[in-house]
Amino acid sequence: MKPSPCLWLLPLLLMISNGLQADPARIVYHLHQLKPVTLKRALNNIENLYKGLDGERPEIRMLLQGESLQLLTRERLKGANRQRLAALLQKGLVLEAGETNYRRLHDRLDPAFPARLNRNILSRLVDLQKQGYQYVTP
Amino acid sequence: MHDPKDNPEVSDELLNSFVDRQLTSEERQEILHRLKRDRALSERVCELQHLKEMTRLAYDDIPPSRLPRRPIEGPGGWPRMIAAALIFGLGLLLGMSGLPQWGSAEDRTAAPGASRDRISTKVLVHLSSADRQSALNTLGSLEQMLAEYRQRGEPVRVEVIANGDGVKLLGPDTPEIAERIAALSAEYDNLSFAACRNTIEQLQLTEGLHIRLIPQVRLIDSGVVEVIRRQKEGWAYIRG
Repeated sequence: MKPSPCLWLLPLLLMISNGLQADPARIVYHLHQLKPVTLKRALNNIENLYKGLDGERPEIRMLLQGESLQLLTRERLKGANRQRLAALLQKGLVLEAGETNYRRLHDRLDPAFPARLNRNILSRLVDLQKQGYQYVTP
Repeated sequence: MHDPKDNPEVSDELLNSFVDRQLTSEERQEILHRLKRDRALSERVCELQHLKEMTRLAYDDIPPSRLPRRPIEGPGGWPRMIAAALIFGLGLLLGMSGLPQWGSAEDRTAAPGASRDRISTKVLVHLSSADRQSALNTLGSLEQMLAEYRQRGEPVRVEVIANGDGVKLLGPDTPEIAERIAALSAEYDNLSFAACRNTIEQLQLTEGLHIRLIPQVRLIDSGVVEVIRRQKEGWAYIRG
């Protein structure tokens, strides 16, 4: 029996359907400055990202470089901002920081907000973008 | 040629020549002088520069012309398609199994850093603020990153582009940053610094600033265009 020419299309269709499965939206949010509005703006942006990308399984990471890590100290992270950040962690937000910087500030950091530690934040930003993360900064 | 003194209304043609850098030095000076006094004229120049850059950027990606597609004719269509698929598959397999071995001796012996296109990691650092401490932090992190890549033996290329207020940090007036840039440039030949010419000219016009750059920093026409172009080429982007 002669095979139907359509059989040749089957593997191709399978490949296309695999490719069409939606990848999660991956975003790396980079903070590098310590200004009063920085955290508020970042929280607004990330809340909006979770709202806007609802259904796309967003994977969002917030990388705090240099002095911006002070935003997570007990003296700065208070009230509504603290609650909003906690709610974002519940949604899956991952915090990341530089190892040296984190250890230097460790005693002042709010223990409710642990961060993944990296040897170098810039290298990490590059690696994440290579993995397909979209770079966003306030 | 054009003389703005004789013609108080500067023509678009003359402004286009100014933007395209086709005027003589005297004509250019005269226009620059008028731009200082005439805000509307300055805005027209900005618009023309913007238009020129966007046009240039748009034409970077002209797709190759389409050849007319010839339909597969006659009863031999399917066998020809299958043969083509087999040839394609064979080519793919050969490609994945390391065709570079068949390259010329020159290709094989070339140093890893000889061709920038072979560098898989390219990083663009964008400086747009005049925050000295932030810039110093960025340079410190950059140094660590370059050392890390060197240690791993992984080639990387880094370009720092300054526009906006960021260009104010690349001159001798900020010696702590200038020294750091000089030291880093001497240590890493895969690191370069560039400043936006448009920004420098605008700062001269609007704020009367004469930005001087240290020798390690080269001038590029437009920082923002370079930032967009690099990202389109697949460079990782980091705001410093």
